[in-house]
Amino acid sequence: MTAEDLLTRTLNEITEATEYPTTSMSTVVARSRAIRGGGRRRVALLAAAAVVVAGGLSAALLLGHGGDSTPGPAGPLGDLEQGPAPKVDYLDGDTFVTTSGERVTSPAFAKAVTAVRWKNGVLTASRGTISHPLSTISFVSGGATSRVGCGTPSFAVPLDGGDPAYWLATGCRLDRGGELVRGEARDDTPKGALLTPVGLAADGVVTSASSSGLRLPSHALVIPPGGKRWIPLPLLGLRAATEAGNLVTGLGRDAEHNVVVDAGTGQVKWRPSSAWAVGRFSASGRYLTGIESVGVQQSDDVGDIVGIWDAATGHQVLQQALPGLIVDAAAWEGDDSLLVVAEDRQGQEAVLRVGLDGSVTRATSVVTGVPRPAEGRPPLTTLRLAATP
Amino acid sequence: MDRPAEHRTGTVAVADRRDTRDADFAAYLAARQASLLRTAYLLTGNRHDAEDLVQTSFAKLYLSWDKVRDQGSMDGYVRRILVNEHNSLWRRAWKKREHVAPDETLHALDRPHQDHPDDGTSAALWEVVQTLPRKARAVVVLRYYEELSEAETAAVLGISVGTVKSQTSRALAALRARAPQTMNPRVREEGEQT
Repeated sequence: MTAEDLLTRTLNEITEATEYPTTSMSTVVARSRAIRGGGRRRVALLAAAAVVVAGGLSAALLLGHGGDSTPGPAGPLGDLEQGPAPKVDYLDGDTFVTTSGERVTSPAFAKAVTAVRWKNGVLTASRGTISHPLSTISFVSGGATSRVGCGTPSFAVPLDGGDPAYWLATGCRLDRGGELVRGEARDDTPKGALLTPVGLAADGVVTSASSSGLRLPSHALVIPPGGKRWIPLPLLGLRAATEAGNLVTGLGRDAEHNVVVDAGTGQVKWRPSSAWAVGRFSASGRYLTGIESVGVQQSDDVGDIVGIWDAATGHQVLQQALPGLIVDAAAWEGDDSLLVVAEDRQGQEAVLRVGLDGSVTRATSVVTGVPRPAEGRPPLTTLRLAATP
Repeated sequence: MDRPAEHRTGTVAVADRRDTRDADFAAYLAARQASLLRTAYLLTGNRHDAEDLVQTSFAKLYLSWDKVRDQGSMDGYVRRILVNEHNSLWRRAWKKREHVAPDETLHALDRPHQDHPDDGTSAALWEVVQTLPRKARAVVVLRYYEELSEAETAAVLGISVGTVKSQTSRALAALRARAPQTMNPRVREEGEQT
């Protein structure tokens, strides 16, 4: 055997002895969005399921309108009509803005990927890094910021406005256990398991669970109070849950397609196209939203598309194109309208309101985003929607 | 409530084309990702980086899918993306430093599987391959794992055939110098005789 043959044999033996994970279509599409968006990559998507149970919101639903991708207004964000302020709390730089317009400033907000009002203050979760993957969970209240611990950047918020659920790593280490926290209740979680709560279901907290070394695919679970019994869901990746509708959505077990599943029975209700990055359920659980990237944009007339479906049946209610805009997190205002953080090619940002009637307006002023460095991780967007049910 | 077929617009036709496009891409992804993961593993030396590299490469291919019309050249195209992306990752030395575990307990938790059998010859040679310079390693992987010709290797790497030849020669010389027991047939034969 020649040296070259030996080398060929060696390389084949090495590769055959190694196990490899499967990359799903949705992963590829999501990463292509990040590449197209200027290399922005997020460690974790925001759990920004926005439902504001505001008294007096009318339910003027326009079913049967959908199926068409209605072109939204072209031009920069500033050209869009300004509408009412968001009915969802949001972050603007280092400031937390409430639905009543109250503004609270803290350095913790500048680094937060998500936040939620709780008791007399605000819980925040920072963005992790490759070398320090755990998020810092902080509580801002009365002008002071206190550190709660380290965990994952996601809060599961109940419809009744009660205590949000989140996960903390014991000792801020990945090699120990953790706690699933909800108010005063703290349920121990096993060593090596990293939990990311995304919502609530009838039986408990809906969370994804992965190995802290990220070597195994994640799984979706419902953890009832007490934490002793974990109920598996037939999903590999978890995106959202609705307490009202008892539905969950995420990546199916085939690692290829999104699914919407009954959280109680595990029955697959329908499968959103893998072209969509599924988002959040509406307040009543009636609707599900998603975002589609159309790939390489050849002109300013092309932009991300917001989709809305009937959550139970998959019937598409609306496709709303947003020319020239990249859309990030989405959050619902009840069942009537959707808020999205949009960014244009000039790096300016605004929160837009997409109505079920196809209307697109601005809910905030246009702000200038933080410039992206030539290399390294891009910064958080200036505007971020708070976590809600 | 479904809309009557006669009311469907060009927008739905666009959606149909997009579905077809995505179906074609998904089929290619399913057929080729395992092979590309192996190549990426040989380039990077660890599964995590290999997976990341392949995901990025397929994402870039997805963005260019409509333009890559010649299906026969798809493999070469995605290989070029793979190698170029690996080169760009290599240049970002700070990113490699961030992969270092901050403490040994985390490192212990992330201890990789025993990815290759420790049976002597292959393991020793693989250890030496991983010490090759980046370009030489890419040439070795493409020539001796992908079994591309010199011309095909040159096309993937964007270099001349002459450079491929010289890189190959230098890489083999380095392997022979660092792993004489495994790479030199005479040394192996003598060893077997004793």
